[in-house]
Amino acid sequence: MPTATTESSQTVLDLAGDRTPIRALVRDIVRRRHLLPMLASRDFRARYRSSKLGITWAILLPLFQGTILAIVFSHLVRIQTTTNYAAFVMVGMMTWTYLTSSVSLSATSITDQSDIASRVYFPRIFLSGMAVLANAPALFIGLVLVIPIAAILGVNPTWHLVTLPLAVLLSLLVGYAFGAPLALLNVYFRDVRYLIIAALQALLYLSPVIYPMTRLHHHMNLLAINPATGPIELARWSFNANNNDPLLVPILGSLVWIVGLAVVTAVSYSKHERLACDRL
Amino acid sequence: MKPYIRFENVGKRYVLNNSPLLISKLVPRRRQGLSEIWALKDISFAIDEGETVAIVGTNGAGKTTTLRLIAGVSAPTEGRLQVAGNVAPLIGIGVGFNPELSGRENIFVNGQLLGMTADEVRRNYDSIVAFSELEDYLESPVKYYSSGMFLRLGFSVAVHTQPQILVVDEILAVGDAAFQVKCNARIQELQQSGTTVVLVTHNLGLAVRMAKRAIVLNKGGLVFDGDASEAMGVYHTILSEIRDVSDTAKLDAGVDPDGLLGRADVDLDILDHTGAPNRHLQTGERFTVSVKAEFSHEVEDPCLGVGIVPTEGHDIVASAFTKPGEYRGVHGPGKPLVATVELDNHLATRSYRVHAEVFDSQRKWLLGASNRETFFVKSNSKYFGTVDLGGTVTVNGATMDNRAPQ
Repeated sequence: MPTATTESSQTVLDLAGDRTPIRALVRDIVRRRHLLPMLASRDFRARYRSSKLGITWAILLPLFQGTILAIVFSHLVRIQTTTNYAAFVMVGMMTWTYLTSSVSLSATSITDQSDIASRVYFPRIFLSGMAVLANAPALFIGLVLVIPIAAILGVNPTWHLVTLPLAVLLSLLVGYAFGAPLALLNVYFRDVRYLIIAALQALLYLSPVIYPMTRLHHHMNLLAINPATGPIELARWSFNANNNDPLLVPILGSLVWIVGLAVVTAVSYSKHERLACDRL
Repeated sequence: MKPYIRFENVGKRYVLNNSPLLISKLVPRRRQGLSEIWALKDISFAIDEGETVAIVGTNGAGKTTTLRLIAGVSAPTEGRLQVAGNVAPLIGIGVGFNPELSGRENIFVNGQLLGMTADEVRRNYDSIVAFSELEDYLESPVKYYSSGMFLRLGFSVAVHTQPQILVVDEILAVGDAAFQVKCNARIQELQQSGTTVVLVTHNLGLAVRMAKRAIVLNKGGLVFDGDASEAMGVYHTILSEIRDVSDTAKLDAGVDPDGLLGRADVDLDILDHTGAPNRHLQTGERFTVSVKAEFSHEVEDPCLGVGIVPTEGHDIVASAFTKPGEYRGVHGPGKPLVATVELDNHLATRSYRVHAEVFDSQRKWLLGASNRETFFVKSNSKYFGTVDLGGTVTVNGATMDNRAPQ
C-alpha cells in the first residue's frame, strides 16, 4: 500500500491552555490550504445536484433576476442617472445580492457544518470561506450575463470590463471579512443569523443600489463608510454604468473594513478556534 | 519525527446551562447560577510511538473529552497538550459525507478532511474501494446507501489515511459481523506496522485483547495507568460501586472480558406447537424457544434473556427474561443451562429473528449470545402490522371479513 507523503506527517498539536496561537493557526491554514477549494466545490456541486436542471440553475437564476430587473427598472421605476438606469440597478443589485447571501451563508457556516466541525480538526476559517467561495460562481456568471443584457439596453462594453474579476474578488473579500467573525459569533449566540437578516434589510437602502451616490450631493462620500459601496461601484465601473460616482474612495473604504475585520478575525479565532466546537 | 501524545496536568472545564441568548452574557456567571463541570482534571500521561493504549472508564469518566482533545477538536482549559503525528480519529468516520454526492466524490471529501491530499486519495482510491466492497455503488449518491454501506465506506477511507496515530472509538461494535472482522484485522495490521493506537472504550474484553497498557479514568481523574489486566481489576472496583444505579445501565451490558467471568456458548432452537423444530409458524399456535448454554467457567445464578425482532427492524416485539436472583443455580463446564420459553403467537405475517443471551448474576455482563435465528410467521388476518390482534371492522352494522384471502 502506498505510504503517505511527508506533508501530512508533520502535524504537531501543541496547546497550553485553550488558546490556539495565531502562528499555529496560520501554519495549519497554509498546510491544509487545499481543503478550502475542495470544501467549496463540494458545497457548490451538492447545492444543485438533486435538481433536474442541475448546474444550469447557476446560470438560469441570475439570468432570470437580470431580466426582471431590466424590465422593472426600465419601465416601472426610474431614477435620474446619466447611464441607462436598468443596467445601473442590475449590476448594483447582483453585487448586493451576492454580498448579502455570502454574509448570511457564511455566518451560519460553522453551526451548519457542526457534524464536520465537532469530529475532525481543520482551520475553522475554511468553513466561512467555503460558503463565500461556493457562492462566487453565481455572481461571476450573473455579471457576465449582464454584458449582453446591458448591450441591448444600450450600454456597450468597454475596456473597463477587464476589472470585472477584480469586482468579484472585492465582493468576495468583503463577504468573507464579515462572514468569518460572524460565523464564530453565531456559535455562541444563535440570534446572530436573524440580526444579520434584519441589518441587511436596512442596509440595502443605505447602499447605492437603486440610487446613485451622487444623489447625496456633498455627503456622497459618507456612503463609502458602507463596505458594500466599494464592490458595487467597482462592478458598475466595469460596465461603464457608474453614473460618474466616485470610485476610489468607496474601494478604499471597503479595504479598510477588510483589514480591520481581518485583525478581529485573527484575534477571535485564536481564542475560540477550538473552544467554539464545545458548543456545537 | 516520532509520533507521540503527551498530556501534562490537563484539565477541561465545561460550563453547563449556558443560555445561547445574548443578554445572558451581560450578567455575571455566578448570579445566573451556572454550574461548571470539570470533565478532566489534572491528567498526565504520555503515549509513545507504536504503543497501543486503551482508555477505559464508565460513561462520564472523560473518555470522549480525552478523545476530542487528541483529535484536536477541543482545547484544554488548563495544562499542556501535545500531539505529534497525524491523527486519524475513527470518530471521523464518514465525516463530511454529503448525501447528494456520489460515493466516489465523498471518498475524496472525507479523505481530505481526514488529512490526505487529493493525490494521496487518488493513489489509495482503488484499495479504499476494494476494502469497502462497494464497487457497484460508487456512482450513486450516498443518500441511497444503507447505514451499513455508509459505515463501510467511511471506515475504508479512515483506515487508508496512513495514520501515525489511530484513535478508535466504540465504533467497532457497528456494522455486520464479516466487516467487523475485516476492520479488526486492518487495525491489527496498522498496529503491527507501528501505528500508535488509542482505543477508547468501556468494553474491557476488547481493551484487553488489543492493548497491553490501559488508562482508567473515573469522574475526570486518572485513577490507573499501567498493565491492561491490572487495569481491569481497578475498573471492576469502580463498576461495583455504581452497579446498582439503574436498570437502563443493566440493559447496556457489555461483553465480559475473557477469563474473568467466562464465556457461554448459547444455542437456540424454535419448536412449533407439536414440539417439532419448525421455522414456519402459524399465528395462534403457541411455540417454544429452547435455549442451551455451555459455560467455560463456573457461573452462579446466571440470567437469561430472549428477544424477538422483525427482520427489517430493531424494535423488540417480544422479550422474556429472568431478573437477577430469580433463578438460582450453579453452572459450569459440563453443567449446561437448559431453558425453554413458551410463547403465545400473536405475531403478524412477517419474518422475525430471535436470539438468546446469557448474563452474569447481576445482569451486568453479557457472557454469551446465540446467533439470530430467523423464523417466519403466517397469520390468518388480512391486516398488516407487527402483531396480529385479530381486528374486527364493522361499518354501519356490517362486519367485514378479516381473513386473508387464501
